[in-house]
Amino acid sequence: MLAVIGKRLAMAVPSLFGVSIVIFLLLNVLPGDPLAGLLAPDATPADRAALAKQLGLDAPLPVQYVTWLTKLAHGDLGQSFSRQRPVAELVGTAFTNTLVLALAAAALGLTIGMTMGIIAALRTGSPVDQLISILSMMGLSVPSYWLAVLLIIIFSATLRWLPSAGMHGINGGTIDFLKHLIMPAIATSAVTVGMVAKTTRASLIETFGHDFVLTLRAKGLSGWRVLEHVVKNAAPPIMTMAGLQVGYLLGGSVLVETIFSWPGLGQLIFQSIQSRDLRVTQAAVLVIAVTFVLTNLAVDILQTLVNPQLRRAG
Amino acid sequence: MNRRTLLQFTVQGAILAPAASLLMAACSSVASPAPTAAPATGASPAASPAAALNGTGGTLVIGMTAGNIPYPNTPPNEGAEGSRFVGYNIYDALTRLNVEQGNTTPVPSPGLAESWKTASDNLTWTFQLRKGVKFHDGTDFNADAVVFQLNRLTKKDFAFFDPLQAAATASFTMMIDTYQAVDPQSIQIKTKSPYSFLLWDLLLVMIPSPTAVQKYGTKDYVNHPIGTGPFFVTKYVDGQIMELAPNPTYWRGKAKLDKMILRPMPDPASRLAALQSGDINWAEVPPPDSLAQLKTQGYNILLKTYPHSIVLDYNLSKPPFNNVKARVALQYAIDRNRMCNDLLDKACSPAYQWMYTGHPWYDPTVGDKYQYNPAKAKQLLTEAGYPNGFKINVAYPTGGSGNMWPGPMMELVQSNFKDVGVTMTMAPLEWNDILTIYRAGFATPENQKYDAMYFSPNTSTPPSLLGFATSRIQPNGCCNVTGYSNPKVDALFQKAESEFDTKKQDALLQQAMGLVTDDSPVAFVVHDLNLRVLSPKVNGFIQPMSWYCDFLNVWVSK
Amino acid sequence: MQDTIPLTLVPSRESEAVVAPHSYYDEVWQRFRQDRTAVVSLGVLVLIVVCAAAAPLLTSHDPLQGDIAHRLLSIGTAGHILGTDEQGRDMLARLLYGARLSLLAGIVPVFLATIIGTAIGTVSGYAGRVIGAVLMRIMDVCYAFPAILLAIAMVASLGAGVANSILALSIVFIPPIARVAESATRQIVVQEYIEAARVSGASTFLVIVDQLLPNVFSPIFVYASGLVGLSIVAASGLSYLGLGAAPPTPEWGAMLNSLQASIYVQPVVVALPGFFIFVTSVAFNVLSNTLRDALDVKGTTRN
Repeated sequence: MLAVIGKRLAMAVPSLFGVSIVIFLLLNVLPGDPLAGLLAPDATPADRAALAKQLGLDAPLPVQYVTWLTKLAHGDLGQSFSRQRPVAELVGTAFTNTLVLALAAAALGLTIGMTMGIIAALRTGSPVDQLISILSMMGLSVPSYWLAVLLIIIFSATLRWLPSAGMHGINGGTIDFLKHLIMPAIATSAVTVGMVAKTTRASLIETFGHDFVLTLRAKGLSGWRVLEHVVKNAAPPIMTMAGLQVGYLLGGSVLVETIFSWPGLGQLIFQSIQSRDLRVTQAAVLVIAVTFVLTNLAVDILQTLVNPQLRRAG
Repeated sequence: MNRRTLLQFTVQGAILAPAASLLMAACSSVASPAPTAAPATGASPAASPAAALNGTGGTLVIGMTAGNIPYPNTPPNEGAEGSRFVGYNIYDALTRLNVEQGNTTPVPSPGLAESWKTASDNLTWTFQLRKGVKFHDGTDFNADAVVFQLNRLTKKDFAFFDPLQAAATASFTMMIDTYQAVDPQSIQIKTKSPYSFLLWDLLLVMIPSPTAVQKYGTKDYVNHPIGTGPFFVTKYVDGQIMELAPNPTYWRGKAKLDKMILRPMPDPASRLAALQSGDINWAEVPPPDSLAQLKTQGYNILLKTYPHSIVLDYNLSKPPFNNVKARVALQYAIDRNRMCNDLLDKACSPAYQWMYTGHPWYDPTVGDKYQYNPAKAKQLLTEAGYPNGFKINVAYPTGGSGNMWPGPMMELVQSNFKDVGVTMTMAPLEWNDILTIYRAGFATPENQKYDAMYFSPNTSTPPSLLGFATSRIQPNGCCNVTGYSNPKVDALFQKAESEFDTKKQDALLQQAMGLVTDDSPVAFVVHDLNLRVLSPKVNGFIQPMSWYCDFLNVWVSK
Repeated sequence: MQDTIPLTLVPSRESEAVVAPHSYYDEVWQRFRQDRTAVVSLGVLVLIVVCAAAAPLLTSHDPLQGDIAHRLLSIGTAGHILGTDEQGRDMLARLLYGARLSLLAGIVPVFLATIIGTAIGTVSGYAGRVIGAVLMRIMDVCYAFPAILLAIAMVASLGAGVANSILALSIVFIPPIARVAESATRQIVVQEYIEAARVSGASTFLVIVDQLLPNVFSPIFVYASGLVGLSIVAASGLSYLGLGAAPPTPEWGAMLNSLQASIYVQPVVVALPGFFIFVTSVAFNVLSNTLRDALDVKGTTRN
């Protein structure tokens, strides 16, 4: 068992190393000038060269990569050029904001998704089941950015209930914070609702069909007791799907965060790509990649724990 | 369209139709077809000027177009919006624009320097500094503070030299040869050549507290910004919010507001939503389509002519725009009235010269001759040797401070050009990429793929006109992006630079701009009118003829 | 447990390949026909494709040129049944012509990724050991990024444009398809008829093309069909961010972006382009789902 987990962990290491190279290369071939936003409107090429030298951007790429990796190993992510702040602080704050949004979306998505899935499974073939099937299919197909715009049209532009931008932390009060949170959370959770509802329904239906359920029923167990057993058996695939969804939500959504000006990782990455702030982009993408790898790892391990077959195969 | 799709439409329509019809009713005022040839003086601000003088207090919440809170350094980032809302609220410079009035274009006036004089060599300036001014940390402002900041910006071996701040101000300090404190209350600056534009350059050399810079160091300074300005920072969360409180001992008097809050809101529709929900009470540049509606709801829509325009910079290094007739032809092809009246709901005025009509540097003898005339454009294209038009590739920014609404405006130009046979492809670029092209010039190999570029020049200062000087062609200078060169224009600039009489200087610059209009190295599109919308509760603000703002007399009623 | 829409792009490791009997595809069609939702979805898609192709016949309006004096007209205006956009261009014309690019930018990446991913996957699965391991580790690196983020970063690096958007999405979709292909291959390689072919002296290339590909086709096809909906949403998302189609080219995502400033004036018109992205995406996802059932491919491991 431990060997399997160890093997999975070991496999993640080269992945992360590859990730660091991909991130570094990808962003260093950006066609724009990382110094563009930092110079006076009419700075000369000589001014530009001088600044590049000051900031160590004139070194060859491999040298820059090694420098970056070495500093990274020491926990030093450097200073952002365009924001004049430590990169670690910027990424940390953004990650916290994305975490809040991801948890809200996950809570929303998992609750609604599982509820829908359970109802559908209990009423297989009924109109309710069909409606839920259609709804979950719509949920996992809807473009998050369109849903976001629709929500803004309805709740901001027409009803004027909710603000469409300007999240400014918890200090505006809990109510104010929740008002800012609700639309981005709904827009990001639609896919989760769809996926979880489908998985829950499928898993429950499969379990219902198993012999042991019939046996339990035959034994005269009450409906609730049977359900308890069913849930126990149907849970693993649902948990796996939930885990994958959380991993996906933790990556932050560039589109939804940009639309609602939510100061999370997605918005930070998009803005720093635009301002060619390489250090911030690299660090933020790295954080997402690490989170993603770790979440997938956790899901893998979870799968191994609950499934004896995989334990052997692994 | 199948039944299912139609059904969906109907459902959506049922939800949205009432809202839509309401909004339509509000917006049904048909734009008048009359051209807005005259410079729009704009709606006058502050609904009740009498009340404006009486009240005090309140919290002003500004929705900025910036995608982030500008960092409070000297200068801040996020383009000129950073200087407008953060820079000049925290800091002063030796000179300041008199933006507290709305009747004339602001010029350099006494700031931290009370007065100045030039020696007979026309090189040596002596600035008498204002007495009794203190930084927010209680330390004294004096000549040493000015020297400290100039060292910080220009002396590479100075312990607190800041390369980023130096790069951001390089063009404002480049004419300074030497400087020294004569005594605690005066400072002497010597320029490299007779340079009367120095007062304009000094506007953007903001002075921070040397004590604070030394105490917190270059890296941490932005978290503890200290200036002498009308406000100081009480809270600063990157990406979210900045809060400012009035400086009780400000040398021009304490600001009336209790608090000012800045919010980054890059999406125009979001700023509009926030304004209507009361989240903010000052919105920069909302979508122009909303203006009619906002007006009926009692919001103050502020528009005023000021030196800031939208142009297409032409690549003069290759065909077709190395041909002056081709350039002039397209001046006649742009339907500027349609753009201002129909597309932007009068949030701009048509541009026929670099400066707007009536500005001292606007040449009345050349006038507004480039009126929309597609037939004439076609005829000129034929004369230029392009009877069937040509194809051009034009770069434009997808956003950025002061760029108005680049996408829709460019699409209209594209459609105008198509009408005279010119096919234009649009290349969307980040604002920073546009700036990179601007600095490197079209003539460099990597920029040769562009025939023109959408740009929003700040036209408020004499140095800003030098983008048409031969000496500013890259790599010898910066930034004559088009590569335009006219010895007559150069000579006029030369004279203006060493002319210390403002009236005479204006006349020289006017002549130069007349020549530029004839040569058309750029296509004039529109003049920006500095659109912003204020809640009726915001009082006492005077919309200046400038990009910058004075918040001293602003207050917000309950 | 992984569904047909692999937003996390982690397909199952142990796809079960299906060995196709002869009358198999007739059966598939019979089964497919019984699912009414799927038939409707197919109908919707056919309709969209036909309308996109026949756009010039369905509207006389120029999708690129409008009358600025008649901008932002509402739905139902005479002459402009779906209203006009912010430049006064006919919305119906732009939606119809826009379908071409939106569909193209969504489908082509999946098509390209399927070809390349299948090649990589079958070779790794067939060659086994070293080559397979190396190829699949390289693929694994890509799993460390959420797909859309990776695509955005790539297009931002390469520069905005439809071609780059297609390229970026193709690259993003290669690894998951390769993984499906690899696991399907590994399961078939051990089958007797492959062994027989090998023993009979057929070249590796011939074995792969003649014996392997036909048999790994079903799981790959089903998996790839599940990607199309996602790909269309992603491609339009890139355009929405300003990284795809350049104006005035109509494309649904780009249209949503440029109309967004008008939500207070014409909310329904603003919502239209996104609605079409949504409908297309739903239709593709329903089809893929039904296809999986009909082909009897279990895209998931039953734990």
